[in-house]
Amino acid sequence: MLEYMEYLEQCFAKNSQWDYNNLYEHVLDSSASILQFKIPHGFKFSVSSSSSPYNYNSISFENRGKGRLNGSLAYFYTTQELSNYKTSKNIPLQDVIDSYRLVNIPKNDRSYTDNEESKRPWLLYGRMYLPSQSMEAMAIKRLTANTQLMLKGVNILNPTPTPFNNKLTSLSFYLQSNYYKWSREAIFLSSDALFGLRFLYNFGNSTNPQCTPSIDSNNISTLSLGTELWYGAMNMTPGLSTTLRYTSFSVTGNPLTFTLACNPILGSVSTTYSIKTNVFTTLCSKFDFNFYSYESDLTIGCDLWRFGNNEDVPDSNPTPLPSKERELFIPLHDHQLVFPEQEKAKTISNEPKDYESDLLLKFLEIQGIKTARQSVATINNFTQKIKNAPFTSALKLNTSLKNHTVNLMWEGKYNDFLLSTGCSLNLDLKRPNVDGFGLQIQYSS
Amino acid sequence: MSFNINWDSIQKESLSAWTAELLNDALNSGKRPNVLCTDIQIEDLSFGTIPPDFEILEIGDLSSDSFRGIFKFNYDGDASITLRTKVQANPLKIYEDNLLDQFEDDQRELGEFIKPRFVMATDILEIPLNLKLSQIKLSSIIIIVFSRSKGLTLVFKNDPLESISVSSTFDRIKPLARFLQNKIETQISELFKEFLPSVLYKFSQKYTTENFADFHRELLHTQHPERNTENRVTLQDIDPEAPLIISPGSLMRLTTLSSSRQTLTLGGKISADKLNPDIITKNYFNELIPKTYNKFQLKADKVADIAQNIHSIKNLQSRIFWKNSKNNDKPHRRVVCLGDKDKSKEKCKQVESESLYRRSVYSQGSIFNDGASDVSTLTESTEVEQEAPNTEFPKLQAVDLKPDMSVETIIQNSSQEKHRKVKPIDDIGLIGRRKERLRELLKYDVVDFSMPPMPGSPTKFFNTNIFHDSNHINNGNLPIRVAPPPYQC
Repeated sequence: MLEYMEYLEQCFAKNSQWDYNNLYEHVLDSSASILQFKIPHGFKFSVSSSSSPYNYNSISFENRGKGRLNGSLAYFYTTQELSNYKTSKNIPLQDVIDSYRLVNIPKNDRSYTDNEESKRPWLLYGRMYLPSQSMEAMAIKRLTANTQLMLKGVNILNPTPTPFNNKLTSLSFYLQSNYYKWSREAIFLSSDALFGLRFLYNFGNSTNPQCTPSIDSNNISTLSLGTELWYGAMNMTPGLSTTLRYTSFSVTGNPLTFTLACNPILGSVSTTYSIKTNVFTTLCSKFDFNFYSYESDLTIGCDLWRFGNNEDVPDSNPTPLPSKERELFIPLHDHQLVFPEQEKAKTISNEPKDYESDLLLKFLEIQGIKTARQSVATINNFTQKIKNAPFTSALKLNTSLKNHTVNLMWEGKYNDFLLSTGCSLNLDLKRPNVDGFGLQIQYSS
Repeated sequence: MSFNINWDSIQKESLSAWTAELLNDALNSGKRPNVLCTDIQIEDLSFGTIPPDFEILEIGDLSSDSFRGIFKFNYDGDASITLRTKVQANPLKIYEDNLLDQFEDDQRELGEFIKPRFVMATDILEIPLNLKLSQIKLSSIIIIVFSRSKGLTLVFKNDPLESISVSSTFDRIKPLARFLQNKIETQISELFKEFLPSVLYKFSQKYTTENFADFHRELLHTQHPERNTENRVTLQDIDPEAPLIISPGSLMRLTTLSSSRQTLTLGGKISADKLNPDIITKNYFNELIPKTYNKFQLKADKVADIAQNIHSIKNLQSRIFWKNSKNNDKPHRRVVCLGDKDKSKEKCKQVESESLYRRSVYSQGSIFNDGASDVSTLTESTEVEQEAPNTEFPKLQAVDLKPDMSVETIIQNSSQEKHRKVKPIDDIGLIGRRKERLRELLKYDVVDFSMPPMPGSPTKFFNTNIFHDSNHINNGNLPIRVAPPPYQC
């Protein structure tokens, strides 16, 4: 589950139309959200509030055993009003729980109008940990419509203190350019002077003069190729990896992602396949192989979402569609759920409006166009459902052949509180045990 | 003053195993550096056949609890050590781990915050590494200071490492091999200068503060000497008949003698260790004493002497009888002879003349009487066979004597046989006075009777059983013939 500050950062990105999924850093997010989720450790409780649409603050307590209680204070400020911010009472769970990413890259570049030009939002964030008095801070400044600068820094107690220097500071700089066709990042990390470059290129996206927010038949599937290059100047450490990502939709409208990542220096290859089989479930598998050591590993995982038993339960019998529409739809199989919001929002943009073109279509019986149109409608239908579903909890689990561990995590909402708990079960034949266990409670107003 | 250190004894399997374990612990203590993926394991450790030269230059202080000396140390031998581990081949992964190590456990979040998110660049690649160090050339002047309270301090005056040969799995990759060679040479000289003295110091402190006996025990526990007792003389060899019969004085003397042979060798057969089972100590002596004097155990090989014992019991019995009898009564014993009239009578006489108390009546040769016979007839016969007179009696079987049989088992065996053939006195059908009289008469009879144990039955019956058996054992001079029962004696 996202921390409060991470959630705010995402709100900021969405609000300022910054697409995370178009960065190389997030190229494996769909599978990582299921196969590499982070189980909370110990007990953590945080209370947050927004004093204004620009100011947010949070306080948290944490106990990780050893009889110590740690805390932190965090402040968040932005120059742009976060209109999409929601408190923990009415936040949709799919906004705070990492899950399958619906990659929907805009078809043209953002450009600010004169009005917006002056805004160019800022983000400032700082957190102090107690009692260690360590600090972390972040600043994001949008330079142009497609470029932003990010600055991160930490200041901690030096683990090997000297009389003159008992604090240690690390800084990192990110210069990010994010266009619809490609994205680029230049990174510098002050510790050991690590330089990094990251690229991502999207194939097959043709420029479309009209900006339409929904998916159309031109970009049902996206093929992206990215790479990262690292070099530590102080200790001469090179690093390299490259990834191919293909996201698409099945004929029934299920989104799926396939990635092929490799590290040519180390000879390792990793492929993942994630599919959202219906609104409630995602399945994911990952296969790793190393060409030098012949080591391999298979990891599988899934997440299951649940609706509550309150009045928000979606109607299982969809209201009958108009006959013409029904004819255009492929039967909706297992996800025949139509939510009230979706009913209102239902617009099938590509549907021929006028009688002439309708007639023409019927007359020509161009099967290709018809199926494409049908599938676009199905996909839109499906993605809308995912976006609007009133989920109450999600269960994630994964296991791998090599580690013999099963990781379980449950995230959900209980009386305005966001709960997240999980454990790691070690199924070692010699001595099975529970490795990690934790509970995290969040409340925000 | 000189020391004689036997280098071959160092080459022992147990010692190298012990040293390997010690080194394993020392190498893997503390936090493992990020470049290593697994613990370092010692594959092979050999001290070589060539001993080092050890020259005493000066001994400054020598007393019971402190020592200070300067030595010259030269080594050019064939000792070797093979280590095995797995190394991380991805430098960026090592970088990432080092970066995260700056943050303590409760500040992990800060580490995650500042660290850039690597996609596949920090993948793990473990490479197994076998490293063999051999042809070690050492030469140095060592100062050793030992004090019982402070432990052992060892100082190398100069860099002891002259040369070392490093061979590893990366030998074919020249730059990597050269890198390893350099790295290890510096590491080894570091080890001699700093690591070894500190480990020795810690190790010595552990044992100077602890009980020395514990140290010995631990050492003994790690070694597994083959206990070869072929050429050893044990107490059993001296007197196999009675290994425990040895006078306390002799035992004491033996103990003193054996303890005088003991040396300070660690863990050997004659080590002066309390728990050494090969050595007679006072503990052993104390343990022996109660065993020797407080118990009577009938040995298996004593079973053959039972006959003699029974004979003496018999004598005792008869002596008591004669002492108590006032009017020279003969004991009421009946001998039933079997077989032909003449022969049996002859035999009877022969038997009677031999010894009164050796006679016995066998149940098989009982006299048959009619159910309505008078009492006198009944009293004369000890057992009543209700079968037809012509019945063939089962042959008397000698009880198999085995050396490990106890007296009880023999008796049991015989009495079991009897039970099948003998009618108990209660079943004969007598009542009242007659029965009592019969009992009275039988009291004096040393005959087999085979009564089932009754409450309050005289213990003599038990003795009679033995008596019967004794005849069996001695039946070499008392032949028994089984024949159809005669109607009169």
